[in-house]
Amino acid sequence: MRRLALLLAAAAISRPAFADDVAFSRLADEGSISITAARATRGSGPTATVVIVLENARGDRVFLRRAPVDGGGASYQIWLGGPPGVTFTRRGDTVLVEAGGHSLTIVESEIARPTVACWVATLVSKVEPKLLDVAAGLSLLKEQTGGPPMDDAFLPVRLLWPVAPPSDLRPHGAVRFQKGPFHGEAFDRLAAAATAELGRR
Amino acid sequence: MKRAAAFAALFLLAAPVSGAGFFDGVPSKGYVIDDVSLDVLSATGGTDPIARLRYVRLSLDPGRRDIAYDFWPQREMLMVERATGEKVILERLLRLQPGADPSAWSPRGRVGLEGSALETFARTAGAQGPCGALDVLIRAGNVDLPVSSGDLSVRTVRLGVAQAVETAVSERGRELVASAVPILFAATTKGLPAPPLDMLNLLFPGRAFARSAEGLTFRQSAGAPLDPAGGAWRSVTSAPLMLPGTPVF
Repeated sequence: MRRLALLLAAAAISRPAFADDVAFSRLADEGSISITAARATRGSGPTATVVIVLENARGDRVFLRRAPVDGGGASYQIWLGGPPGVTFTRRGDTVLVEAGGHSLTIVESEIARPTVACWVATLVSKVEPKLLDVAAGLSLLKEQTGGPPMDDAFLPVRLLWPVAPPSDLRPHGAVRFQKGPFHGEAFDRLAAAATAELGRR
Repeated sequence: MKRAAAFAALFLLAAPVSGAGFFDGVPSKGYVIDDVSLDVLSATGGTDPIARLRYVRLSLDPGRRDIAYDFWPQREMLMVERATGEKVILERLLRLQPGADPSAWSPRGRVGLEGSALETFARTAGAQGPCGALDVLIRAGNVDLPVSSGDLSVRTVRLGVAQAVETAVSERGRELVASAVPILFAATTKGLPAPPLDMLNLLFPGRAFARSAEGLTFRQSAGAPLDPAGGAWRSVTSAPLMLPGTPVF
């Protein structure tokens, strides 16, 4: 409870004068797979900053953060433990992939080419070995639902999916996509985590 | 440049793809099949050569006699020494016997400069892992870049290879290679082969090397031929023992 209060306080400090939108959704099968997403948005259109926090039933979290960059384009971060994880900066048709002090420029449409996939997989797995599995798992689940397609903020997942080995996730029964609102302490914590990342630079 | 360095560092860290050196496992003794030495003269440069060339093709002794001489591996060495003393060598290995592991990298081509080198390897079978399907390896300095031969025209790959090469070879080194290309193309009219130049398309993707050279003439070299085992050449290549004639047994 104390941690929640601290998180909420931090989120409140980082909030600008206008309110941030936070929306919830959930992806679950008929077994033990359940992923809750909190999506916090500040601003709108191409200059919006978006943070998505995904949490599984065990409480493991994946963060996605999309923010505009100076000079046009946008940067997309994905991390598991803490930022910065892997950053994708899109300018035109090229994407600069940065992780652990190393970088690689790729042409987005070429991600599925064997060489490009090898290079990206090598870079990402050096820094966040589990990210490829996470991207593959998310994409697999998403594919099985009738929910909306992954939007721009999910760029890292969409780019890592063709690079990742096949997911070993085995959903039981139908996978359903559910939109919020949801209420409760767990959702408040998730919202606070997402909102806190909105203000980070 | 900072980005290029970071890029290179990625693959330096990532890639004990091939721990073997280029000349590891390459027979170190060969019989000379072709040997041509030329002086390169410029119409505007007087009688002193602007560069000296030597092309040597060797039949490499595999160290066993169950392989017919005609099927022995071969090594081509195309040496260029500028009047400034700067050296560059283009080398090609042909017909190397496959090793026990077909997924192991086998050396193919090499551009050697004083203090740096660009090398290419190939393999005939894939391996495990996300890079296992790639069949070409480019080694730029101490950086390994695995590449699929089907991706050589892909923009990302061309950009990546160019960055790795730029990091591994100094600007002067790259100029030296570029300035040797028109000389070597002109020398094909004097019996020097063009195929060793093919590897430049792989190592310098997208770079349009000048091929025509105005006012160059060639003459049979009057001095001692360039010796890959001598002086500064030892920092450019690993010289084989070069024997005349053919093996008796």
